[in-house]
Amino acid sequence: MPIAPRDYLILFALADGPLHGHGLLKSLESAVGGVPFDPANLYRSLRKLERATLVAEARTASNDPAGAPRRTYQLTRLGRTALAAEAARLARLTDAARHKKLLPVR
Amino acid sequence: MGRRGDRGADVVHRGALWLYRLLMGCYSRAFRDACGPEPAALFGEACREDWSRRGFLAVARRVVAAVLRVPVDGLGERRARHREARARSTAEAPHRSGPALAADLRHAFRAVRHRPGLSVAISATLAVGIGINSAAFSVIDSTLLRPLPYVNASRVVWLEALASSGQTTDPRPSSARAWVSEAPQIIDRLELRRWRTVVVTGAGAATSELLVEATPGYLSSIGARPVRGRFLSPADAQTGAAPVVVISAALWRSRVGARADIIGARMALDDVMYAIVGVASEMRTDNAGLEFRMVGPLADTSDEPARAVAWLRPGVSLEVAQSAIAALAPAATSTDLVRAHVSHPTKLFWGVKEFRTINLAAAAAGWLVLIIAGINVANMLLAAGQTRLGELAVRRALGASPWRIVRLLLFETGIRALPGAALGLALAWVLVPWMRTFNAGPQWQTALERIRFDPVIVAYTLGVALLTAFAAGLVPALRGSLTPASDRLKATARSVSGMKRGASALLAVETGLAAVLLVAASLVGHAFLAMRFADRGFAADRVLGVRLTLPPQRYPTPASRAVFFDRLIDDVSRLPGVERANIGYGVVPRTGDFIATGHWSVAGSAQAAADLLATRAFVAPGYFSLLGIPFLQGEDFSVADATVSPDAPQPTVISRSLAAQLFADGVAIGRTFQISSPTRATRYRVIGVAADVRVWGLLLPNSANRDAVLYSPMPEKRYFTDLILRVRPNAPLPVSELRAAIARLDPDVPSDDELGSAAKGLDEMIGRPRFTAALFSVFAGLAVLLVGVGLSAVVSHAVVQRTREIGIRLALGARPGGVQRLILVQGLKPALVGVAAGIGTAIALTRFIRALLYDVSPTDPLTMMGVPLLVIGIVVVALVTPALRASRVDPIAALRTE
Repeated sequence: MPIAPRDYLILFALADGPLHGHGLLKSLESAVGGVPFDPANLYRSLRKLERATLVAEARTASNDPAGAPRRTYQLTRLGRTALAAEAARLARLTDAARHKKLLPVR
Repeated sequence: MGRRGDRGADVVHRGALWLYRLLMGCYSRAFRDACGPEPAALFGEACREDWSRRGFLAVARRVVAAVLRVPVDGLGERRARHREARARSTAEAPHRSGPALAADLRHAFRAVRHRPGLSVAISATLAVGIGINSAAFSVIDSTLLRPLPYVNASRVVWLEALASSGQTTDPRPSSARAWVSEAPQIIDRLELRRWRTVVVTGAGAATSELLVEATPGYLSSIGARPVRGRFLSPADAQTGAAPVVVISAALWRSRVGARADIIGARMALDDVMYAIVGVASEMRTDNAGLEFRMVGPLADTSDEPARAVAWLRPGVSLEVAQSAIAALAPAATSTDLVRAHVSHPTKLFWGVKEFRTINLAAAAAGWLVLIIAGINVANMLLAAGQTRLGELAVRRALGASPWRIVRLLLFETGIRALPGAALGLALAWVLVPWMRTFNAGPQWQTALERIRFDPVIVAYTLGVALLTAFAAGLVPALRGSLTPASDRLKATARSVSGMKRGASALLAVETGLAAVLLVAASLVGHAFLAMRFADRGFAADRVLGVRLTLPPQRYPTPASRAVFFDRLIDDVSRLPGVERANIGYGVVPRTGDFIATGHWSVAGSAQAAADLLATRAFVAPGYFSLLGIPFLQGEDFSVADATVSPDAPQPTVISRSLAAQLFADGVAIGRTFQISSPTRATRYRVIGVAADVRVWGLLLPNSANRDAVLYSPMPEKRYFTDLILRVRPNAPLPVSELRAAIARLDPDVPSDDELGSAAKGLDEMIGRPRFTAALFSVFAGLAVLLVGVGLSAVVSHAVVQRTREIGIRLALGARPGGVQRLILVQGLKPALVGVAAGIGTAIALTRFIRALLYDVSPTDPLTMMGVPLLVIGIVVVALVTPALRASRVDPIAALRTE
């Protein structure tokens, strides 16, 4: 089952380890070349991924002792599997594009 | 972390938080509860980072994206949630109506079409407000918000020499290079530049131009690209290298007609042949938007101070850089040890105080006009809303939520605002070329030429339009949705008596704002007239001056230059109509090139040393009598004064203003004073006090020492000298004869300066005040027009509402005069309150435009009394029509309308 590009980017950003909202936003923006990413939208996607149990939330203490605990997000085992499957699907598509000479052959 | 001030970042952060919390209201409560404060916190954090790292435009981009995006997504989320809920509850029957949003939009469109008069009035009112506001913003956008023209401008700092007195100056190239090599972890690039005036000869008339001497990388650092040939290389700067120069495309076109074989061509600068090695695209500078036209290499051997532009390494904050740089070893100059210092360069125009004041005042005025327009719209909607209360009541009764009704009314205003925005943009489009016609000085002109209606301005205009529509629509919309249904149903059946209190309050506010604007316009206009008609202190209309620059190679000795000038004076004195001719440098035709500044202390006086500022002028004997400047004390220079040894006190003539500041007891002749700066101290002996001339002070309106002039004898060197001549009364100015006389003596001496009488030059000098006065007058005029029209409309509407009551009054024997008075009082009361508050506000605020006021107090009594009378007069005129209409109500017809 294909994953929406935005969800794929989120899962991809979490592949290196858990991130909190700010880190996630930054890595998403750098992945799309600095185009601003809307935080509310990010949370909406995160909640969708959570419901699909691809992503799990963990509350950790903030670095700032007075600050509220910050939520961090991490991939579930299912999430990692889905990400790998999606990456494989994209790789197949890329190979197909190469086959049609749309991309330079490595 | 922050490159900019932390305070700015905090303001951005807080503003972004607040905005995003507001926007989050578009999402459903359930979603907001689930997310908590984090999305807003993330947004705030991201905006703060954008601000510190990438600047205003990045923040603006993020904010605009959020404002456009979040409501759409939020409403989408609500709908999705709604659908899910509906799908879950099997009890509910499938609903076939289209989405409520689309229905409301359709309805709003119909309502707008249904009342074309109201719609046109609202669009036109908004257009005026938005047009003015957008024009003001476009000026600010091209001046104050414009970053320095460097690549990676956010990392640029000035590297300066900090003297022990605390003054900063441009460093010597050797010191700057040494400092940078000691702090490679802080600064990763250094470029140096300075300029001097050179005479360009060959290929066309002789001209004087600025030659910029810069390090090889400087041209690429200001974003210039080679159009032809190459840029400078390090080899060009070495001792013994052939002189080379890169010229701008503009100079290439104007001087040699864009000749294709320009590379390798030669050009004489101060009689030295330079090879042209390249033509550069636009070479913008950090000097208030002026353009460079010729750039040559900064010779390795020359160590005169130069502007040092340094780039901080990415991630190094100004604070870190400042402390690291301050710790570097000081460099020795002839008199002092100077430490390294870095400072944040101001934006292109921010450092120019008058610019800043004009810009900020224009922005404030733009917003005031927009607020007045918004209030007018709110008033129109309130009035129109009263006739619609019945319709809204029916909607409520049929089950529409208050939110739905607010939304519907806001849609209507929004739809009317869009044509308003388009018209406003068109108005701004007209206003900007109009502003260009004022010729308000080269800096403004460059800024105004640069104005393009780019996406930023269009987005700003749209945003402002929607914001105004929202704010103006909210008051009546909330009223429409919150009034109890019973009241509103009654309202359909009975006429409302009098104006609503809300409408009166809005009228008071807009009258007050218009009064504030009128006060500002009147003060600025007054100041302009004071400048225009100030007594110049000399016969400006009979004096003609031309600035002459002699090529130093051709006239290497003072004696050779003296011969040239003596012959020129001789030739020119014989021209028809010329009374006298002389040389001098300082008062006319242009001034301000030299300033005497530093600590001034008077010998034998207990008075503490003060920081004064005076224009410097260098004049030959006879200069004062030529211009017609009378001596108040003492006498003119003698020929011997020019050769006083540098160690002795220098003979000087000072202007009356300067004398008054230096010598409280009024005796100046024979007294000595000293001006000390970090690098040197000079003593002066006063031999004369001359009357004030009002020239340079026009540019320093509120400075205490604006007419202070320090005259010294013309030095022997005479590189730059003005030739001044006075014509007989009513004789024509011999402009072309003067040019011919100069060319006869030496065709390679540039005299291409715009020639004209000193009066004409002064008139051009006050182009900027003229521009400001015109700008404010237009703003204030439109504001008053809006107030008049709005007031008239609201009171007229109230009269229509009260037709029945007025009919009863007339039927019971009231006189038409009494009814007229009733209506007048009804309109005048809020206007009077508003004007009183407006004048109070103006008195508190006008000190912020002090920098623009010449010879006018910020609380000028004439203005403060005249403006209220004017506003009241306009209000009375606006009330005449409704008052007359009220007194002509036919009692029988009025009672029948029941």
